[in-house]
Amino acid sequence: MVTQLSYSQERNVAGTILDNAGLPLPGVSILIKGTQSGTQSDFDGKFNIKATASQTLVFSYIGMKTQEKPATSTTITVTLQEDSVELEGVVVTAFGIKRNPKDLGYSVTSIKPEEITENSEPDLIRSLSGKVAGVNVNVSSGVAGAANQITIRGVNTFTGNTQPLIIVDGVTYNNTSVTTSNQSTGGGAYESALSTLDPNDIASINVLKSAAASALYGSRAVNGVIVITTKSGSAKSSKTNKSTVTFGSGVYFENIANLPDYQNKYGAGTNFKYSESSNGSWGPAFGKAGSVYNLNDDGTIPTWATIREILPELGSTVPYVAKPNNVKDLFRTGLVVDNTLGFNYTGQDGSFNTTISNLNQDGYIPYNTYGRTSISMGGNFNLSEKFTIGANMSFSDTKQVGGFFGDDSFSEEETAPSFARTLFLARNWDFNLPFENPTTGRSVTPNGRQFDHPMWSWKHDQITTNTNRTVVGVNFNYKFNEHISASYRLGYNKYDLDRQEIRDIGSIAYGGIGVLKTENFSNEDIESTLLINFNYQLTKDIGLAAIIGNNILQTKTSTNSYLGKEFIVPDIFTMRNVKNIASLYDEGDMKRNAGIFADLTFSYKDYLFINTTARNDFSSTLPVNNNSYFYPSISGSFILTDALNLESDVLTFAKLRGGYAKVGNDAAAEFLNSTLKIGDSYNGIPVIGNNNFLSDQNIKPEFTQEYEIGADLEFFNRRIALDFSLYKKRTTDLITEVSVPVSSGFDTYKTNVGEMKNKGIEIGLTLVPIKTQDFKWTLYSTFTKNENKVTKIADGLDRAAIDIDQVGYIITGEAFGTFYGTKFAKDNEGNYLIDPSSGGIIADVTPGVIGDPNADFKMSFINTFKYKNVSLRTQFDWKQGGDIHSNTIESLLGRGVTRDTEDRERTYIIPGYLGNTDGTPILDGNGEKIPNTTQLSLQDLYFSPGTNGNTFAINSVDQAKVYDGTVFRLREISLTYDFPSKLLKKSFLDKASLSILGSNLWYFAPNVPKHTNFDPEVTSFGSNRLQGIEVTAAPTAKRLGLKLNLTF
Amino acid sequence: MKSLIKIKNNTSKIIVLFSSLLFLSCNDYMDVNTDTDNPTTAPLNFLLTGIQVDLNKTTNFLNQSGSVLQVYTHQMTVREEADQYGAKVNNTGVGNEWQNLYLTLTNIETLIAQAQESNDLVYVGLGQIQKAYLISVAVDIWGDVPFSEANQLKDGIIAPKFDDQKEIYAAIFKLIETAKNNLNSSEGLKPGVDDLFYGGDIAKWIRFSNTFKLKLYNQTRLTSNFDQNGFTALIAENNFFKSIDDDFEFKHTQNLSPSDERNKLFLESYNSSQFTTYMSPWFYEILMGMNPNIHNGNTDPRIKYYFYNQLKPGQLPELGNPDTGDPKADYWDKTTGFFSIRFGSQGPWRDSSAENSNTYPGIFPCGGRYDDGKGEIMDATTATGASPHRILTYDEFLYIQAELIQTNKLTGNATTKLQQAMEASFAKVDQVVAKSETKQVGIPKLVGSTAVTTFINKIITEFTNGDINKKLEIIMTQKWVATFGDPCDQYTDYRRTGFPILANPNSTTKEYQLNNGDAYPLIDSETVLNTAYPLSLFWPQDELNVNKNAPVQKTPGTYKIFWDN
Repeated sequence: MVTQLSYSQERNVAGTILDNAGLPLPGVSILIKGTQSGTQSDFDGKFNIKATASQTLVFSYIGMKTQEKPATSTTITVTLQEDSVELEGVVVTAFGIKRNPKDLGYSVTSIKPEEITENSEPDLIRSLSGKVAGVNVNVSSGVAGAANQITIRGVNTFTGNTQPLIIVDGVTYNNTSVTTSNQSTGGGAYESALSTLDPNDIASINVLKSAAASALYGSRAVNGVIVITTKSGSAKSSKTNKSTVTFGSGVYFENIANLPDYQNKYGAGTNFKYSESSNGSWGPAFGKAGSVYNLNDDGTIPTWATIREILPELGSTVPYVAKPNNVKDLFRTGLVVDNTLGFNYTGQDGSFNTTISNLNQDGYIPYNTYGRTSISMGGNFNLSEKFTIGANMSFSDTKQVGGFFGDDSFSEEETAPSFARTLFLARNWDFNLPFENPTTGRSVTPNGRQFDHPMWSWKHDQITTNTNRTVVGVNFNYKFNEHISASYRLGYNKYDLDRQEIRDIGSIAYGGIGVLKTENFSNEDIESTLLINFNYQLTKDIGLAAIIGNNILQTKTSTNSYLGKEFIVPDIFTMRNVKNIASLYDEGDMKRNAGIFADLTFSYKDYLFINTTARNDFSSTLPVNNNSYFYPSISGSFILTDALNLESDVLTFAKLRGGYAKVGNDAAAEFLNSTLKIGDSYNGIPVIGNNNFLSDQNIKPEFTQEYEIGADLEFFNRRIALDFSLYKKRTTDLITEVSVPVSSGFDTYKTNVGEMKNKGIEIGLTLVPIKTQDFKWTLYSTFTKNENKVTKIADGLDRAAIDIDQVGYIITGEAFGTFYGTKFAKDNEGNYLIDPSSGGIIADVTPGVIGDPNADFKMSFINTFKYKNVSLRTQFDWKQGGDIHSNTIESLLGRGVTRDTEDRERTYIIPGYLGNTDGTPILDGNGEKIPNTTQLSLQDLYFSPGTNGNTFAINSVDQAKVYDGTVFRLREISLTYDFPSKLLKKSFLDKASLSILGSNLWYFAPNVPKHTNFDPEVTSFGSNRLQGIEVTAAPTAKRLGLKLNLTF
Repeated sequence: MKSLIKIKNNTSKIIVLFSSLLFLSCNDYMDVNTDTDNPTTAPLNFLLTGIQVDLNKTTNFLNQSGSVLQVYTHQMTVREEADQYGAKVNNTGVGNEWQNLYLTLTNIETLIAQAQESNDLVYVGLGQIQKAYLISVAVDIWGDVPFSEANQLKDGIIAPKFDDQKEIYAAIFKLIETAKNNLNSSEGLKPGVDDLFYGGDIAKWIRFSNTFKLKLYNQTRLTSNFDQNGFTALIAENNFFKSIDDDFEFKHTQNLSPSDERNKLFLESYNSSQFTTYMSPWFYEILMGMNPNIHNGNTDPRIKYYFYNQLKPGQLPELGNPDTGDPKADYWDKTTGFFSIRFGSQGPWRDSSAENSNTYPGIFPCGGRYDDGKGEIMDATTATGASPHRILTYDEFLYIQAELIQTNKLTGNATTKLQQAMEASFAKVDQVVAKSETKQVGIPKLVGSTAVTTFINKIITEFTNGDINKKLEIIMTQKWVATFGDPCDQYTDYRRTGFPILANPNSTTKEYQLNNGDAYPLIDSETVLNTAYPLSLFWPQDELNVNKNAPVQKTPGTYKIFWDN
């Protein structure tokens, strides 16, 4: 009795709480289970609490696993273990199947939502850059809303989509980038369809990198899969009723990340003579005077005729002086405002979540804006213990307004890119003067009508894209018994794009008559997935989990485009207001794919797991006799530490894994069709002709096979954690279109050709170098290296251009996208062959490989420093190699505007030997080569002299524009303060934090001409297959701002 | 064991479920891949119109090879690569030429195949004669080109071999005869408005076929295996162009929609943002009678129809300095307002843009402006652009005959023939003006004017007084003048005959005669030339890049066309 009594009596229990490094842990909440009474550990990790011996104490702390201990003893020491989500949590794999990462025989990487929202980057793809080993992000330009390319483990197809499959809440999320006008010759920095997704609504991102991981998705997953679960699509019920409201608000300032260092010694002209019409700054030095420099005797120049016409008060002459800020003043400080409001309820009967967000971005380029508004909601309801029903829907709306980009050296009439001269204005041009002629409305520039003033162009020649996306999903789960359950999901996802491209009256494009181009595009996906799950413990040691399923996907697209010419009245941009309308295209197609699949996992004693999958696809896009195809996968994992019962403090966890998978792929809709084309009628007489492409009618499915091995190792209780994978992939019978010799009658052949290989290594390394009571330093590093090689194209074809106007090629034996073009001629000893008359280098009669845009490797270093309530996070990226082909560098050098070309009052001799135009050296009487002695001015060194002389920038061989793209970058930095809970206790807030966020604040590219400050990350083709190619694109942006997060 | 049985039981249910889904996924459900937005067969007439629209692009201006060729024949000058006989291996215009030519041949093959199938032999003949024309152009500018294996991707030939140019020519001669037989057969459907060249007039097609064949015989007249029998038979058939009404030319309209149907040179010149069509000062001086060696003192009355000067006579160019009188021009004739740049110029003003001073091509070559001396600023709205692309005309036929007579391949009187040819050329200018839909009033008629009579008489005197060489030079020079705006045959003629004599920046004599009498004379040494005359064009690099059966790239300065002796 006495003892029993004493048991029920409360007495003081004292104790110490430590973390797994043995350091005291303050602020741990201690609760007596089933009661409201509790306390917190003090600064030394100590606590005192009244409890009876039969009660249980619950110790909980953010970031640690909650532990329970009976209060049987009066002194207790508790060591809390870190709640390492990465290993103990759950990852979402194909079709939303949740798996313990420990079981997996392949690498799956999860990204926490904070990693993509705790930065000032509005674009999801850019946010992913550097976060996951094996995932490669190629960003494009600094235009707000511009698409970026993401690839996983290299490019696997020649044509079609090279980007991963994106699955949002179990439904395919179409990510096309609709290109209305050619981006080489004058198109926009178009957005990609993924930009309709609100990052604030994301609950988790899982990246399935390997074929084994994604094999169940079949055809579509050949480029890897990004499985995104939204908050509204994944609301889960919990035992405790709880509702929270979250609010986040970010305000960021955006500026151009880089401007060249301009020289301000020489103005417009050539050969030290002033010329009003020259675009190059090769004129006389400022401060000179007199006719020898073609300047007036008082050192002035005639006022530009075009400007004098609108500003007669300027007089007939103006000083010939530098305008050091003429480029800088064209840009503005942009602003990004991102607000989100979320509501979440979870309870025993179900859950509900809704997120409403609004983003507004004013880019650093005037008139360039991007905005997104989205609303999403979803929930589930437990009808019974066995039956759950859930639904979700979201709607988002985006609007991008931006200018035209591209190369103005193409003579097409539509060419009038807004960056034609923007970054290389002659150094004496005054661009702060009015840029619109009040009478004609046309642009006013100093040298006539060669280009439109950038401000005029941005204001008048605009591309406006409105998109919206509607997603509706419903899902059912039924648990037959403890072993068998079934789930069904039906989703609908519709994306609509509506674009207007305006060439205003007075633009140099289309002779200034005013042109409107419209495009309407829509994509509708309906996806149905049925899964039946079996779960059995076959023996004490052997478990079996099996899934059989069926998946049907129907995709319907339609697109039409019209071109209206000659506006009737100004400033009305409708098809009604043009004199002539032409239909450019008006097409639609449908694709259906059905698959049945099975997935079998055997486990042995929780340390050996074998998983096999099999899928058979039926595709509407393949010829009837080839439209059914099968592919399997197998993978396994072995947990060494558990199997051998290693109780070491050094190696605390070790897992080995390996897998093999084969994935099939079908063709794009209507790939097989070889129809004729209705052309533009001539003088009212209809015209029909062949298309430029021909399709092979007997194509078969394309297959990718991948082998992967890897390991996950942890040392010293996760003070060091290493995750690495090696893989080898081979894709055969690529269904693709290849450029063929046009003498074959067509320029493109759509067929099964070729073979491509990728192999690579991915490493993720976590280090915790310092961990004390108040301070923790975590370093997460990734290393990504992928080697791509095209091993075969087609019979009779060793080379194919990706875009005939650009240097990106597919070449047997080289990496995809290798640069191929004209190059400098060299003799057999590697010396330049010089054109005797001009002193420039002769062009090699045979073009060749001149660069490779694929990086040698990419690394990122993410450091997190946490001191009490303050944390500092930085992401530093290193891209090694990867060539760029840059028009901007070419123009900066060739126009003589940067400090690279400032020291110019001397001559240069290109080292080499005199040569003939056919690429052979000229020999003297003794049969010896003749060294070059022709002196060149610096201008000639960057602006090719003569027809046969090529130098290092303008009017030269393609090779002259290629630079190594190695770049180091401070991609993200954030400083966050979490308000202490003590402080918040008295308020209505549960949590509050304030962050200072910066992105792209610093970079260094060692191998581009120093003063160009060119960012090798800038490319022109967004998510296109052409990479590393920059055609007078807009520089990247940098951002700095504040973000506030509140939870109620 | 129990659990395994359970799986089995459930599996059977599931199999039933799946088989129903499988049934679903069978062929009906999958049959959604047909393109319902585009036709799979085409009426022959729509195909024919399409072919003719594309054929018109051949050696034309605006992104085709005409812009390069016209520089090689010294009727225009440029600041771009074609100056000094450059043109890179990846020249856009030359690349587009190749692309357009072979893609047009694909449509021709479709037309021929479909028409043969339906026994519409007249259409077969139309396909064949146009094919013959396209292939002859390919040989004339490139030499060896894919022919026997070309346009056969459907039969599995991805990389066609390049055939010997002589063999291709032999095949062309045969093809013309086959085409004539089919045209004459009157079998099947007859073309009408769909035939943009002759409106379905088959007799005109036959006359074109013969005249075209005569052109080819003339081109090959110096080759060792010249087909004398074929030539004699053709002459005996004697069914050539009868008049100006037979001209083989593509009629441009003023329509802007659905595509811009104006003359391509007009679009390149009047409708461009950057001026690239400079009129050659060499050509100008010959027309002005300034050239000491040919037509000296004999001003061509067509000059106002050929060039439009934005500057009035005596008006200083826009960059000029009114105080010093420095025109700041590479080439400016004060007396007429003619303003341009010289071939191979390195002069200080060559690269300065003076958009409002440049001389434009006039009403005859492109449907631009007749030069009424008012010196207006030109743009796309100042003229109609409704001028035909002349390909093979009646006057050209007469010049060909004159050349054949002069070189003793044909009997007749060369003087009379030359006179007829020149008269036809002047009539052509009048016809182009009359059909140009211009709103300009008071454009005088050339034919019958004293100026024209005087001009022709002077040429005839010059011809009569000239030696054999001079006579041929005069015929070729007049043909060159008459065909302004259609440079392909001019390029061929120059390579065959060496005439007309073109500007030579390296010559020791004075290249240009212009003298404004001011303090800024032309400096002869400012023009240079470092490249050999291109005897053919580079094969487009795009083709060589992907065709593994292609030869290695040629050197244009040495690669001759077989008829070039």
